Amino acid sequence: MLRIWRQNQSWLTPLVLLFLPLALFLMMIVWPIIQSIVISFYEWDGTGPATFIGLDNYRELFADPQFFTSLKNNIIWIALFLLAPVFGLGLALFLNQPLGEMRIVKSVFFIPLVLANVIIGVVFTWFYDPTFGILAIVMRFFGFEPFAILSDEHFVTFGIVFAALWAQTAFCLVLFLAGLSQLDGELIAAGRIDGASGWTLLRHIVLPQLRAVSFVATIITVIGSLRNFDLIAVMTQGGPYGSSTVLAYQMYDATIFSYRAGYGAAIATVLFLIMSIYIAFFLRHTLRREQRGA
Amino acid sequence: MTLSLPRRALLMGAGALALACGVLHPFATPAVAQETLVINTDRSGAGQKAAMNKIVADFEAANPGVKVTVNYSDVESYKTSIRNFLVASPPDVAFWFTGARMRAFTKRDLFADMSGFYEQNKLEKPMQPFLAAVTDNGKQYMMPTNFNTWGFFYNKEVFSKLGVEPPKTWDELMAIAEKAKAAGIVPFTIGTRDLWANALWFDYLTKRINGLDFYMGLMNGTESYTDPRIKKVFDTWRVPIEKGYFLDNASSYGWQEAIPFLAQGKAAMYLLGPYVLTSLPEEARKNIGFFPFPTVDPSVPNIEQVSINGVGIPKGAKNKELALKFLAFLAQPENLSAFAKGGSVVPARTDIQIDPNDFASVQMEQVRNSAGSSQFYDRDTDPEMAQQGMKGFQEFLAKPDREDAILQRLDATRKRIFN
Repeated sequence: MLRIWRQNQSWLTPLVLLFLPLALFLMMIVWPIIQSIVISFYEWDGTGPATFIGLDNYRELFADPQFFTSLKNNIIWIALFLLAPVFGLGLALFLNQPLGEMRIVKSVFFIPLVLANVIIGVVFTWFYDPTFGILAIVMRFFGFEPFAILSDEHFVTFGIVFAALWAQTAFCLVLFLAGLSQLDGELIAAGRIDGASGWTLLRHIVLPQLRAVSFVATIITVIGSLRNFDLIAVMTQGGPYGSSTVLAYQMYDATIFSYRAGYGAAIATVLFLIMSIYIAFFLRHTLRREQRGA
Repeated sequence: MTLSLPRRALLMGAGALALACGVLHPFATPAVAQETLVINTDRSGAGQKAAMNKIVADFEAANPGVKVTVNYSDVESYKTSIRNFLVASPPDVAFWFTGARMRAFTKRDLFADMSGFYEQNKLEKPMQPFLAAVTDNGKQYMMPTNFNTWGFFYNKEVFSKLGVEPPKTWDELMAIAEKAKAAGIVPFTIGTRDLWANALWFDYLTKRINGLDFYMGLMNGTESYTDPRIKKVFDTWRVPIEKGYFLDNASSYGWQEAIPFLAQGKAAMYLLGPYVLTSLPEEARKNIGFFPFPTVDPSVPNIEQVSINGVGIPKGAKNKELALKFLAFLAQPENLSAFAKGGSVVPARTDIQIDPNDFASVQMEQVRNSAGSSQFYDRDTDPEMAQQGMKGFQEFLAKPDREDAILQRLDATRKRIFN
């Protein structure tokens, strides 16, 4: 027994060690994805018998104006969400000062990280309330007519993204602060001796060292923007009349309220394909870096 | 000795364990076998919750060894979770709406047949008027608990300031709205973020202009949304919208968030159910009056909107016997009466004397005067149709000029669902 183990240890050990994570990954991630793709070819209410209808769900989806509204909103989400790493970096550079008082300021910026998204949504809904909200009160104070951002089909998505951005910026801020603490002091000192300062120092010495962090912050932000759902559910329920819906919310709406699991699965599949682009990009980048590193 | 310490520790540990077991033992195996009953409910308003807790406590006292767990949840999130828990972790008792919303689940075989229940507990007669709402294919799947009607809740102070009386006709209603608007008061407050409050306007206007048969045809998918009769409904509805009689930015508010406007006198009226009253504190309630939806077309009888709520036993319930016992207990006149009173609704038994000072008597009167009734848009039609329809109504309230596009979209949805 022991001899068999000793002879085959080289390939058995990784197998044993990999078994649990692989099994979990297959069971909790790969299998549901396959299942979801299969369901998207059926007409199914979620509990009863399912009928195979081929590509009908996709045909309906690509003719559904709601789908394009959702897609458009997803694009707005991604574009605006990419501001989070930029703001996060800016704030991190500002907060990364060795002053005791900075701790208080830092903790203020960390607050959104401690709050659940649902709470952020509720707070911002009150903030935007066109009658009793702070925004309305401030606008009235300056003599403007309060603007109901969550009831306007053109601005509602921006209103929600702003709330989400507040939280996402804090997240990126933490990543960048961690990155800044890892900076190589010698490189900076060398740069200073060579006469670099201000923008040059940042551009050529600090930023290259933050590349890995920036990459992770960007990818996580993009994926976060694609799967965002909770804020929309809390703040507008996709409304007014579907104008703030994104793909993830449309999938929920179709599955839970309209009892159309098949159609919901089709939306999920499309969303998965869009996400795969980023995931593929992420994987390629990571693998290449690892090869270089090795 | 080096061994002594661990051994002593071991002994002490064992002693502690034995002691703990001795202490815990009497609780671990009680004299009477425990039976548990799990109830999921969305009737979580303060009044109904208190009534329910008392009924549950009485039930536990009357049945030693029974432990009842009640999971309260708010109405809107209950709507999203019920289908999941009916399939995945069914409770023994689940409260729900009757009508098409119940049939959406009985069609999928998620509620247990309880047809014999009425005869056994002699409930056939007192619950007779409500049985149709809980029946599917000749079998009963729920027990009606209470019903409520809908209509205009108005701020009495505002009405007396404007010098107006509750209207009897649509034209009178519009005249009051005009006066309120001129006085800088929002005539109709409404919150459409969770969609359904707005469907009341559609339901009432459709029934009062075109009669109940057309309405039910529309609900069953046999009548079209592009029908000229629906056009007439929207043309009538359009008038108050275009004159700005509704609360601005209605979709920014949930149905509850629109109530303060009424209570504070910033708005004059709210077309809603008794939830207006249960959402307000006692002192504020006194200032709120009620009148039924006025007559729109004198040649069409006044059809009311009567929504019946009920309670059923999920197909997968673990303790069906006990659940039936609990329903029978809840159905007792004094319990059902207390339960309904907690929510300002009417108990679903014809043999219960209603307190004439309670809002329930107003609702009872409304039902008596009604030439017939339907339940509610999202309880009378297919769930998906209801969802799309209510989104359309929300859009119409904000952008009335999109009427044709909305109706065409709804009719395409209707054809897809009911073909």
